[in-house]
Amino acid sequence: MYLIISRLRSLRQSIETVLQYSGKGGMVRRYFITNGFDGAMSMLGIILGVGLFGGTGSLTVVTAGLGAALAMFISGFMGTYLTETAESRRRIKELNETMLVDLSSTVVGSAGRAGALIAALLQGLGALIFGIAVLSPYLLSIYVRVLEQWAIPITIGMGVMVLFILGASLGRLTRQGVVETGVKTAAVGGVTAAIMLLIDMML
Amino acid sequence: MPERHELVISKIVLDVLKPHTPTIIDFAKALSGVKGVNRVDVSILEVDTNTETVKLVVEGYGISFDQVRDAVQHMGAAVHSVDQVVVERPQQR
Repeated sequence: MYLIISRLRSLRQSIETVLQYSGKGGMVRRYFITNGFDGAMSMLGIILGVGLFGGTGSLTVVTAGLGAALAMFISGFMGTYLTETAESRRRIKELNETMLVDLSSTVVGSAGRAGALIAALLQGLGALIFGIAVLSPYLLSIYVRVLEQWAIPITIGMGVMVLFILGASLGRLTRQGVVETGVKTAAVGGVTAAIMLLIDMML
Repeated sequence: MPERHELVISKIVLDVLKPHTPTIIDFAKALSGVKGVNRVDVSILEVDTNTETVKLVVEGYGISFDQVRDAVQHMGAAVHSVDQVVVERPQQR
């Protein structure tokens, strides 16, 4: 157990060093939360859109949700990887020209390449993790049948909670009011759910 | 008169151009891992948009200049000039 914790600490330290050397530390934290917000909101919209439609089973909602989560992961990963790789190349090229040396085989060059990959993975995972978190009540209802009838209100509650956590994390990161930012993002989820419920009642 | 190969390097002062990251703390730590190095002193002389010029003082016993230069280059920096070198006779240890 101690060995695992020690390895994880070492891995975290290495990732932080790579992100610091590649100049992507701040960007990764901000965009992890942004992508998480996108993932949670998209999932809430998909679940309410599909789930509110009469006669839709949990399995259909979960399948649609997992498909969306996978697409968001790939989209987040590829989008970030392509842009950050290009950004790293530009940064290294600029440094090469300033210093009149080739930095590609140094820690700066390696960190640029690895940093783009780590940033991309974290962006993709942000959308995937928070999307799956919102989907979790429906995932659970496949095995616990009694939950199925309460899946929509639980999902709304879960969505609002996930959005609050994301907002609070953003508030902590930007040194603004943790609760205030959390309430703002949670309110966005609540309003979205209310609009979806209103549309469902009108149709 | 001692043979030239008997002398060992105990101090090197270098003028180095490096990017802002790695920081001088990581830079100094990396150089402290070079064989024979006991003390590393890094001072910033000038800061530009993308780079900084630092004075690197490496002290120890039996320092290999090639290894110091390789470590500097591995950290993404470039040796501009060798400003001072101190050599001494091997000590009886």
